[in-house]
Amino acid sequence: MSRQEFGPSTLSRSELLAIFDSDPRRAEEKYIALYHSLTRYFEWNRKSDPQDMAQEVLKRGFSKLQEGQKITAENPAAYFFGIARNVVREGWKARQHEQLVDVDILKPPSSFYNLDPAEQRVFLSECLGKLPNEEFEMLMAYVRGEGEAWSRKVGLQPGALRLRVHRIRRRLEELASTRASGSGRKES
Amino acid sequence: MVEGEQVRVATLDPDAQIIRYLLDEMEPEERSALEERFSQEPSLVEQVSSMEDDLIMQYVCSSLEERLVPRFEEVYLQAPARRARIDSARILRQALDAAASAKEQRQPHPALRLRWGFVLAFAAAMVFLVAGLRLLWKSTPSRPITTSVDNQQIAFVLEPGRVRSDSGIQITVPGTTREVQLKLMWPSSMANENYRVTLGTPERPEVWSGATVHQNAGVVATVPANVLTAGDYTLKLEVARAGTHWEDVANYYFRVAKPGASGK
Repeated sequence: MSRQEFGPSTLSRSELLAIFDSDPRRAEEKYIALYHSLTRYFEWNRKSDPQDMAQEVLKRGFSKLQEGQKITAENPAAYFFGIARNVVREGWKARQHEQLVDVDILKPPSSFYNLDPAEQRVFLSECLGKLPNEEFEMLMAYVRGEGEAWSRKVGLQPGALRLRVHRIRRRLEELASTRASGSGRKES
Repeated sequence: MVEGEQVRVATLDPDAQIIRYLLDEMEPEERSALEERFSQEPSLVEQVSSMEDDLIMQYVCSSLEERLVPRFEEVYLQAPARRARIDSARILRQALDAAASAKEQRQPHPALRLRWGFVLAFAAAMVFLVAGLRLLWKSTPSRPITTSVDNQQIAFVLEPGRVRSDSGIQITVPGTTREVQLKLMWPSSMANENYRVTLGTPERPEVWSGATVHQNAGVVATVPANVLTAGDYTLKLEVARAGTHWEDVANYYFRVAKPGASGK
């Protein structure tokens, strides 16, 4: 992997992401999940630019790492959420035309929500076809309001079903946005 | 149980607490305490996210508790990022419906899994049945799926996707009728979505267009009777996306016969 530089230090993207997991693929997944969680957090705080704010958090966190700071929190996501709370307290706002992502290393993950509705439908339909039967049926039961009956049938608590459906949806959305970027379309 | 106790119980319920957080109904201290927990137990963020997805899907499916709807709309319809999540949930629901129908179509009918002899007999029976229905169709006057008539209004139910070539839906509009209500079956339709229809003929693609009203498992378009002269019609149903963009949803085909015509 090419060594992408960030600031004066020399940590590569994979070295930075290794804080999430020693396995590069899982580290990437956790990084993407963190970005989406941070985006939601800023939405819950009624911020108008949640994606920019999530990028700012990641940028600050990784800058600290480049400066040699060690993350002591057991879960690195907790460290980034600490930064996120500070960003909210400060009332941080992205300056117009500010280049938030100054190097590829912090390029934000593609977001399903940046696709236009027609593209969402096309890519989602494609990805639904790849879901295992059981997951497809669970999703179907949930959307049709039959989630409770499904939970009873498979012995799941309603909260557990909600979480499983949420994870399936997240996976679908990631697959769809990956498909979209692979098809050469540009996100808005 | 007294009112105060109910409030306390509701507050202790973690799901209710998350809903209050999502709907901005928490006092600043309580909100801050919950957010503090995000940096201690990041799995809580996933729980809140899953609850948010659930609330949004309930809203999209019109099954959200009535008492929560006004507050939900106040919070979610104002913020573009949150509105985008509502739109995506709607798209997921429609994509799932479409995928489920496609799946059903792909699955062979149980009869076709039987032995070849039976399949051939079944096919032959179908040929006779179709031929018989065709004869019946030709000799029967116009026969809409459902009608309800008063003095000046007549209603028909149309189902989507029927190609004109096998247009089984033929309607007759009596001369005294002023308005024709067309109930367009579309199970994925939502009360809070905007739909419009465009009525056209092979010669004139836009004879008339207008808004619709949501009704169980579909929408209703009220068309002035005077635009429905005898002939073949296509009714295109579209839904508003992102405020300005109209997206095709379904097409409905029907034929208008003159009163007293045999339907040939």
